[in-house]
Amino acid sequence: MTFPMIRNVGVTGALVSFADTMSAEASRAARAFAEAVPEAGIDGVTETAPTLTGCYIGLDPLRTGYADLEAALAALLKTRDWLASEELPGRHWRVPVAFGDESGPQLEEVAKALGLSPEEVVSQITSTNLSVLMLGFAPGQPYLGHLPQTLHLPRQSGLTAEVPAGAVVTAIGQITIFDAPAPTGWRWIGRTALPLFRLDAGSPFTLAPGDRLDLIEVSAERLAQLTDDPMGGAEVSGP
Amino acid sequence: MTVTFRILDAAPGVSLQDRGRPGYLQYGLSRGGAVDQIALAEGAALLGTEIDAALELPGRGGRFSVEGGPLEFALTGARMAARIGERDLVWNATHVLRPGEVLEIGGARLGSYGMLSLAGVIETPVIMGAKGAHLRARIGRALTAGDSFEVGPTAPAAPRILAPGDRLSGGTLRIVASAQTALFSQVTLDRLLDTKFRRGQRGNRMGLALDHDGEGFAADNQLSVLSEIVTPGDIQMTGDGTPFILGPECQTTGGYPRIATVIPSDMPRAFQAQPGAPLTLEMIDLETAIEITRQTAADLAALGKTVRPRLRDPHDMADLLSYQLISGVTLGEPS
Repeated sequence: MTFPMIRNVGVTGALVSFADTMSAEASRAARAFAEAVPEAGIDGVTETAPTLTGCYIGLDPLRTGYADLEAALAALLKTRDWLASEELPGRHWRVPVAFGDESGPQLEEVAKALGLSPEEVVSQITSTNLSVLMLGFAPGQPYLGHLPQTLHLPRQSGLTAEVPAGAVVTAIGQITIFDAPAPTGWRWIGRTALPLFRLDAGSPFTLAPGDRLDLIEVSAERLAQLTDDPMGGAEVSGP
Repeated sequence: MTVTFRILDAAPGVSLQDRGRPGYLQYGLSRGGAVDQIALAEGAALLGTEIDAALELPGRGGRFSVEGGPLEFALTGARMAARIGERDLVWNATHVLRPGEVLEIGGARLGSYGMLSLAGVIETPVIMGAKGAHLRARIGRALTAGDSFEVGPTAPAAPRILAPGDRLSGGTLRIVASAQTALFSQVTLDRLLDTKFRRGQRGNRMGLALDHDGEGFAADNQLSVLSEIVTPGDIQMTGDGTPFILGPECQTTGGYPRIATVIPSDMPRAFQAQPGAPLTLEMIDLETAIEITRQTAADLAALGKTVRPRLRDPHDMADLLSYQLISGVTLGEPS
């Protein structure tokens, strides 16, 4: 396979892929391309969605045929080296998270599997400036990355039947947060009160692709107090 | 002036549905909308209204009443046992519900999702641009006994009917190769197209399982596939090798590989198939699929032209005695 690649997604979209494995460069390329498509003014484009290694472009087949969309995307791809894209400016979040014990019952298991202490695992996570690589699984749910290689673990072979709302879980070099109870194959290491999807808020989705997040360790007691705050104690600034 | 439409009783999962909320894929929200978009359009065409929201009835309907005036409605999609009092109601047609009457819609005889469209604008909150519920995302909710909403009704007109093609019995679903088709071997793809599937027992607005006898289906290197965008119609290979056709409320990203995508025009046929109904997959090329998509849109826009007056059963006519059916009477004597 040579990259970048363009393939159709059914009759209603195209997927532009910059790589088949995750990397910081592929994520930056994905985000940069997602930002560039609306500005290119391609007829029939309905939406864009950056993914871990590429970008989905929605197509209205009543307006434009796939061949025309593909040609326009190919032309846009030629205009620069997308994998060399700089990090784009975005909002910067500081999000309180309680780790371990009842807030994250699998932290010890994760630490053991990685050959680190739980404190080292938390320290490496909180000192990584995470990016929202994409939103998926549930509305507003972020895939955060990239964690350093020292923290990479595969998904579990089985599913945990249910983790609670606010669960912070990790697998495959990423972290995600659940807004509502859900089953998961990722490991539950912490808990936050950050809301992700609220219909009564001005904008229903708290996070957007490209946002940066620093997870700030707090105690379980502090987290309990923060659940009264509408943003769970999170602060945002920028760009 | 509005009338009050009341839910006396509703089957689980009855919800208001419309065209959904496109444009939020990057935020993790799938489009949603009625599983049978054709039934939604047919209901509006029968009533001569714009598409508003209608009640989607999964498997069974419920009991409904109206206060404040008569309300015309249409029944489309899966054929269900429906009646007002002793009168059985014809499907794919308009009827009128009057104060004091109860509309009872029972189990589906053919198909899985019935649609009850009301002639008028339903007064219900518009959330993120649409009235329909997205049950998985918790936008809106299923309807239940005691719910009611105001409807700004249009005046009932002469009864009408239309004759849809049969899309309620399963059959052939046309699919196109999609972004992850190349992850599967040609042997696997050929086998998929040769397999006689049955609509599985598992199925809802998020998707439906395709059951079959024989080996499961898998991609090469299935476990190391990255999470990627997922859209309704995608045929996803789950961990146990069962193909799953993703529905309007599917997740927007997923790590299970997708072998192909059911074209939007055949999604009503897929989701209307009852558990056990036969389904086979036919691969078509992308250009043809786009042509079919455009044709379907044109057909739906022209549905109004296929609506016909329905001859009324005298039993339907509450005001029969006021009609003068015969004028002029002779004494019977030869002149």
